[in-house]
Amino acid sequence: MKMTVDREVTLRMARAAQIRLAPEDVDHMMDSINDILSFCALVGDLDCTDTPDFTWKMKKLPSRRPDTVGDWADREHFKSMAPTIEGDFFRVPRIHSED
Amino acid sequence: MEIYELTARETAEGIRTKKFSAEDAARCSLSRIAKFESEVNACVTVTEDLAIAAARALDGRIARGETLGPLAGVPYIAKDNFCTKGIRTTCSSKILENWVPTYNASAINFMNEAGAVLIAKSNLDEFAMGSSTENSIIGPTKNPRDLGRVPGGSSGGSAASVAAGYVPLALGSDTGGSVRQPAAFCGIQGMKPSYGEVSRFGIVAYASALDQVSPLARTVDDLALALSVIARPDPNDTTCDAYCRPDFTASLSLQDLKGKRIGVFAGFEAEQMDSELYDALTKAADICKSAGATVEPIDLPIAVKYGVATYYVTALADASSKLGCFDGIRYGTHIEGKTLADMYANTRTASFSEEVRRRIILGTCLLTEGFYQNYYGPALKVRTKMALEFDELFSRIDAYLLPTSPSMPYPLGTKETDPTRLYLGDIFTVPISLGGLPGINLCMGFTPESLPLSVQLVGPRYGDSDLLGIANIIERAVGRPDVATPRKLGEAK
Repeated sequence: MKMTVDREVTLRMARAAQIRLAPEDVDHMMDSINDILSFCALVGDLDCTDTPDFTWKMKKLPSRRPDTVGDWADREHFKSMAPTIEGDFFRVPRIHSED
Repeated sequence: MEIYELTARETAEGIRTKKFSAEDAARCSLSRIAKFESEVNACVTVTEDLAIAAARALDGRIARGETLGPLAGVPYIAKDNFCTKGIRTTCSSKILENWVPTYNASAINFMNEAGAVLIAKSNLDEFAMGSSTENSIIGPTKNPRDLGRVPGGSSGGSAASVAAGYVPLALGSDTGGSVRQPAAFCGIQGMKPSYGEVSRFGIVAYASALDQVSPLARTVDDLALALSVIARPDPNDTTCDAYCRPDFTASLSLQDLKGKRIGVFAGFEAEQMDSELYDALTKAADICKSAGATVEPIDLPIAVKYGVATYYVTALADASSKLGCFDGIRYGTHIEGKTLADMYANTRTASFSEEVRRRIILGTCLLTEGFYQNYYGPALKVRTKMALEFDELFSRIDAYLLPTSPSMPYPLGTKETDPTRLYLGDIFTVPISLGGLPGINLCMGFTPESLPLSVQLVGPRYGDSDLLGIANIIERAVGRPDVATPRKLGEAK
C-alpha cells in the first residue's frame, strides 16, 4: 500500500534520525521522500503469500572468535581522536537539560 | 612498454625476475599520479612515504631471496571507505574528514600479506551513496577517458585510477553496482564477487546485507588474481563464508565455451538504454556463440520490475541504522550542543551532505510502524522471490549477459533532480546484488569517439571461478582495454 509523509512526519523522522531540517528545507525533503515512497510502493504489488523473508544461505558458517576480554587497541590513540576527554573517558554533553 | 602499462600479474613478474624493482613500480605509480591528478582528482590521500618504505622493504626481501606473495610489489589503490591503520579514512565525508582508524580492513591485511603496496586512498560518493563520484568532500573525480564526464560511482576514484594507469589494480566496494558501473564508465573490468566470498570487516558499511569488497583491473586475469588474495574465511565477519575457496584462476585456461549455455537479457525496450550499449550486448552474445556456447534470450520479470524498489527499501533501512554510529563522539567531526541530542543533531546536520541526509531520514521512516509493514516487510519477501527466480535461471544456464548500465558515461554536473529517475540508473546492477550473485563488468571496446562500451556477465552464487573463465574468453576476443591518457574529448554530449 502506497504511503506518504506530511511535514509533521518528515520532521519527526528527521528528529529520530538525529538530523535537523531547516524550515525552508522541509517541503523539499518531504517531496523527495514521497517520490521515492511512491516508486517503492511497487514492493507491495507482488503476491508473496506464503513466501518467507529473505535470508542468506552459506556453505559453511564461520567459527566465532573467542569471547574474551583483553587489550585490543591503543587507549591513548583513541583518546587523541576524541573531541574532548576527561581523564580516561570521552566527555559528552549532559543527556538531560537542567530543567 | 612502460611499467604503468603492465597488468598486476606482469608487474609482479617483472619484480620477481628483477627486470625492475618494487620501488621502481611504486615511483612509476606516484609519478603518474603527480602528472594527472590535478585533472582527474581520483585520490583523497596519497600515501607516498609509506608506499616507498613498503616497496624498499620488499626489494630487501627479494635481495635476500625470500619467498614473496603473489602481488609482491604491485601498487594498488583502495577506496577511502576501507579502514587503514594510521592512514585517514574519510568516506569522502566531512564527518570523517580527519578520522584515522586503529586497524586495517581484512582485505587490506590480505593485500599486504600478498605483498601489494598501497599507493593511495581513492575518492567515492560520500559513504558510497551515489553513482557519479561527484558528491565528495574533495570534489568530483573526472573520467580519464573523457575529463568532461563522470567516472561512475561510488567507486569512481578506484576505477579512474586504474583507467588512468595510476595502478594496475584497485579495491572498491559494490553494494548496488558501485564497482561494476564505474568500471563500465571508465572502460576497465570490475567484479562484484558472490556475497560471502570476501570479508567486509573494516569496510565502513553502507548496507551490510549487500556490501562486497570488489576488485577493479584492466584484465580478467588480474581480477582472478586479486580475488585469490582477498577471498578467504575471516572470523571477524560472520557473513564471510568459511568454506574452502576454489582456485579462482583455474578456469582461465578455458579455451572455448563448448557445452556452455549463456542467457542474454531480453526484457527491455530498446529506448530504455543507449543504443551503443545494446550493440555491445549483442556483440558479447555473438562472441559466446562463436566460442561454441548455446545462447538464448531470457527475461527476468521479477528482478527487473521490482529490483530497484526492493534494493532501495532494504539498502536505505540498513544505511539509516549503520550510519547511526556517526554521532560526533566516537568518530570524526564534533560540533558542540547544549545537550547530547543537540550535539548529535548539530554534528550530523552539518557533516552529512543532502543526499546522505535524505537516505538516512528515508531509511528511518521505512523502519517505523506502518512503513515497515508496507515497505520493508514486503521487500524482504520480494527478495526471496527474486532469489528463487535466479535459482531457476541458473538451473538452465551457466552465465547471463545483461547491460551494466542503461546509459553511457554522462557529462559532469548533469544534475538529476528526480531521485527515482536517478536510482533507475542502477536497474541492471541492483538485482544481481540482491541475489548475492557474482557479476563482472567487461569492457567491450570503445565508440568512434573513444567512449567505453560495456556488458555485465553474471553467474550463480559461488560460481565466481567459472564466471571468470567465461569472462576471460570474451575479453580475449575483444582485447584488453588500454591505459587512458586523461583528456577531454571534444564537446561533451
